[in-house]
Amino acid sequence: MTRKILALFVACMLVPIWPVFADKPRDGISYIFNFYGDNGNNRVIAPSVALSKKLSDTYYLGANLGVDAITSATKKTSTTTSTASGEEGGDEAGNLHLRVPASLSLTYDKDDDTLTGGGYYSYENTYTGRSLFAAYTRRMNLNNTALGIAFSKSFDNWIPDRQLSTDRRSERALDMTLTQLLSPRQSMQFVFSSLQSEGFLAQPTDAFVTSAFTIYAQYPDTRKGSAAAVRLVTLLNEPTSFHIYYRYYRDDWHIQSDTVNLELYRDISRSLVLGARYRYYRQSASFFAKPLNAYTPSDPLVAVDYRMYAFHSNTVGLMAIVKPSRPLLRKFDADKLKLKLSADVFTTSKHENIQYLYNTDRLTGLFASITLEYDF
Amino acid sequence: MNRYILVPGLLALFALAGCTEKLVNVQPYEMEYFAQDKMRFTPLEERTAFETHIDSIREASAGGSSGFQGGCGCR
Repeated sequence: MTRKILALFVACMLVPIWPVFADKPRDGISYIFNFYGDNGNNRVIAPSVALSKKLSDTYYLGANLGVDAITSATKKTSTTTSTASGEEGGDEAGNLHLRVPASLSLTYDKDDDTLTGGGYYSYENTYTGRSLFAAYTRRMNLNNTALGIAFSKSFDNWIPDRQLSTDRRSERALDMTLTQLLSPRQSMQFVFSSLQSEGFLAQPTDAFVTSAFTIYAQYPDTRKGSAAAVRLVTLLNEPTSFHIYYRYYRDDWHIQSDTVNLELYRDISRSLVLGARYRYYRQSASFFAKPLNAYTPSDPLVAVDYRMYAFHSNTVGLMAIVKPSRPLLRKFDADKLKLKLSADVFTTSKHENIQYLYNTDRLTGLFASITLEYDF
Repeated sequence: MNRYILVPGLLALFALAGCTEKLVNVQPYEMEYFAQDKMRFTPLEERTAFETHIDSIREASAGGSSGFQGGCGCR
């Protein structure tokens, strides 16, 4: 696996630079390498390149291109070695497949207004994603207040290996943001999101298999939800800042959740910032979630995925921001270069469905990120 | 609460928030701390985007951030 990661990392350094999506005007390029792995033998290696290029005094072109190499083949059944989709349940190595996401956007930025519009496309063997998005931000009160509104609409399609009630899945998201400076050392942000999904919303391959029958996951074909979140950033003292984030989510599938994220950053030197974080998440079950053995073939709605059930998770992580204090190469200005590193470990609570799908009582995993930023 | 009332209501509330000078708590010459990485809402922005994507795969919740997440067959 290490050799695969290194090979992909090196290969992606050679990928031609594409102009990419940027959510704020910036004249620069970022190379990003993300990794995710868990004890369910799910692996994601996701390098990408993001470029935001200033075209004129007011216009920026943004582009983003990535490759997600995904290994996720070990969804196991308790009673058979073969899932209904034909995947071998006991395949520890898993099947590698690729997802290629790309987006393109144009940003208008003048005085106190920023307007961004763009499109997104992704392709993988079993799914095609297409989205349009737009965002507007207005700064006011001497830049003490910023109001933002963002809208996105997707027109996605499954490419399933069995007949579904519909191949379509669409999602609509409306985000409203209010950012306010409270003092020279404190700022706050409120976010409200309205979410709506339609189409086939379960995983087509999720199935509950017994010796007598096989039933596939089936969710309601619409879902409406909303989330409200608040962030507070405080400078505790000259080198240390503290971040608090809380989100409340609910939807019409009766899922409610609470998310708390705490982060602490400290300037170690002029060229190094270190951070640590803790995240707690808990959710309730959907109205159609039942113990697996209680399902029968006549049930119209079936949940196999643990995400439709009540569980909680904990995440801890470390972050670093490195700003080289002297030029690494003559060609690059060290003041414009920034390296960002992070590694997070998470673990979920024990759950029957995790045991059923992954042959482990809880999911534990690592996600890590390396970002190299360069401003033109 | 009915979203058809909630969404326009929040829009109006947010718009009104920009109409008062009482919200000018920080003068331009006092903003030096907000230029620092550690004072940004997402100091590691690209990590946050990836993490939001991973969370949307591992959990049933979404929203509460201003970042755009494209469609994915993992969810």
